[in-house]
Amino acid sequence: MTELVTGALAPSASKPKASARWRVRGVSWGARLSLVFILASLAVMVLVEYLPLQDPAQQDLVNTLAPISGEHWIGTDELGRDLFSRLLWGVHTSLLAGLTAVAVAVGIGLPLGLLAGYLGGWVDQVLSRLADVVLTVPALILLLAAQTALDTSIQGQMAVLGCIFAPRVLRVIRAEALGVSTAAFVTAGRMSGASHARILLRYLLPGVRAQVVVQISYLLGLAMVVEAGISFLGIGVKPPDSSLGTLLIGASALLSSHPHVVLVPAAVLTTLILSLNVFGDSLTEQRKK
Amino acid sequence: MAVLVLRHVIGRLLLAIPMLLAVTFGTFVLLYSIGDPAAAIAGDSASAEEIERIRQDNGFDRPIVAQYASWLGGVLTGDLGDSIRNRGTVGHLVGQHLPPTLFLAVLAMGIAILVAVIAGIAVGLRPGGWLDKAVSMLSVLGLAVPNFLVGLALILVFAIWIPIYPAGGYRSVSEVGLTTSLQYLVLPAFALATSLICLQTRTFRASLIAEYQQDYVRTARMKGVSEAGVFLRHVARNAAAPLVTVIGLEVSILITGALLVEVVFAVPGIGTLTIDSVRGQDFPVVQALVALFGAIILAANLVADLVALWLNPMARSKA
Repeated sequence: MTELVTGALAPSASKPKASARWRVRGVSWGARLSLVFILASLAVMVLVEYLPLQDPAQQDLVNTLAPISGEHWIGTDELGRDLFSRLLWGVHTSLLAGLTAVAVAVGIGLPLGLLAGYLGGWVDQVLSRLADVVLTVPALILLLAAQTALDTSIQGQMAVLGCIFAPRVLRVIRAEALGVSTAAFVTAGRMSGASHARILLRYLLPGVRAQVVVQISYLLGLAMVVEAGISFLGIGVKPPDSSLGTLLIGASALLSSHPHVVLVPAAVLTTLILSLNVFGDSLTEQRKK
Repeated sequence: MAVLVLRHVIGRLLLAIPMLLAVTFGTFVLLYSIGDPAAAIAGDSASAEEIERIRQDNGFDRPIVAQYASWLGGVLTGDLGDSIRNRGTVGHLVGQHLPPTLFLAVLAMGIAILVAVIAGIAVGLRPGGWLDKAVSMLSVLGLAVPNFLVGLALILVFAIWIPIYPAGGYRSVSEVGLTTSLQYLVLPAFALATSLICLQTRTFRASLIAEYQQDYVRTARMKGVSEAGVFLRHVARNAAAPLVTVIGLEVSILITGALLVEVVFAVPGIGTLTIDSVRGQDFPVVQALVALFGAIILAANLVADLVALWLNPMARSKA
């Protein structure tokens, strides 16, 4: 490392050294743990149907707010439903919702961003101005305005949220594609007769791939915060379906008597978002090196 | 100098006004063209004829551009229309809900700036120390926790376990005086300030570290300026410029955060009004609120821009 030499001169070398000690062969333990947690959550999302769980909607009015036991691993809620089962189903619903939003955002933002960066000119101007307009108003406000007009289900809302996130993807991919498209190998590709479509798919797309993964990581976290927020407000996922947001709805009432009913889903939600952020950060840092 | 700044302001306004028009027009199309205000007014049990009648009575069958033009004309004369769900005009409704939110936002921003400047100085002067590591880990965590969860945690600790603040509600200053009114807003303000503190601390720390590596710091030390003098007269001023820019950008985080935090703490502000209007499909109120938020954000960015300009003369020549 030349950090000792350049540290005093180059501002870019003054990045926090704290993370350096954490790093084991390039990737910090925090980032590794995050990846494990993200993969575990994804596994829960896919496999929850096949797990031997109790019915998350099965009420048991004799055993309401039961304590932690062998039968109910983290107890039951105010209607006697098994919280562990509801938690895993909540992870399923919330992650699926987040992934829907991200899929739509990348599906729109990636091709348009590539086009804007590669073609430039009026295409770039129009798309970038459009993105500026959408990005002026916070995503949650736009989503709520759309919800007022459309009154759709959670999947519809997440598709809308994807459209609202698309300009963010577009902006990042455009900047990235702009950099790649001036590279010599792209010019060489054009001179050797490659079509525009081929340049976009085979030359530019691999160049922006890493950035797409970073964006997916951040946007998934953002989308899950939004899902939790609107479901908490009773606008997103509707009870009795459970999501990480709806699990918190009864929160204020149960906080004083049974805080664990609130704290467990809150902790899972926070850890998941934290993991996605830390993972995204570590990818960004990797690319800087 | 004054002419330069004036030209800058006018240039920014010329960019901001079309932006605001585009935002409000987009929202208007979304609500009144893609959405169906007549059906929302009529309710679920209305027949098709009834909906059609409401549509014609309210002029929702006119071309969308004509409807937008009359809305815009109303805005310019201070008339935002009538609420569908509540009695009274939209302007009155918004005016009623604005004071608690403004109070809350100012309080949260004040807390955030105070904490971030102190924390930023504490870690920025000694980068890489244990305090620096602890603060940067805390700020990563703080950015990950949704602020309504921070609110719930604050209620649990400071209203239930140690009951020193009310768990929710709001009383205006004119009703109960400043100190009692503040009591209601302390917890929501801290919930709202969490993510702001984290962002600002990160920014201020980074810019302090960058400034301390500049040549002028060495020069100042060589000519005998005290360490406090170096910080106050030279470094702090320059390091504050990025902080001001971030504060300007944070206004949209503040608005989004206020929505959820107000609901958690039952504060009857703009956030609560927004959520109620979305639930009740109150089209005119939602349209007015999006316009208001857009205007506030664009104005905040402009102000932050000007303050940064004042702090950093270097940027003036570029402006």
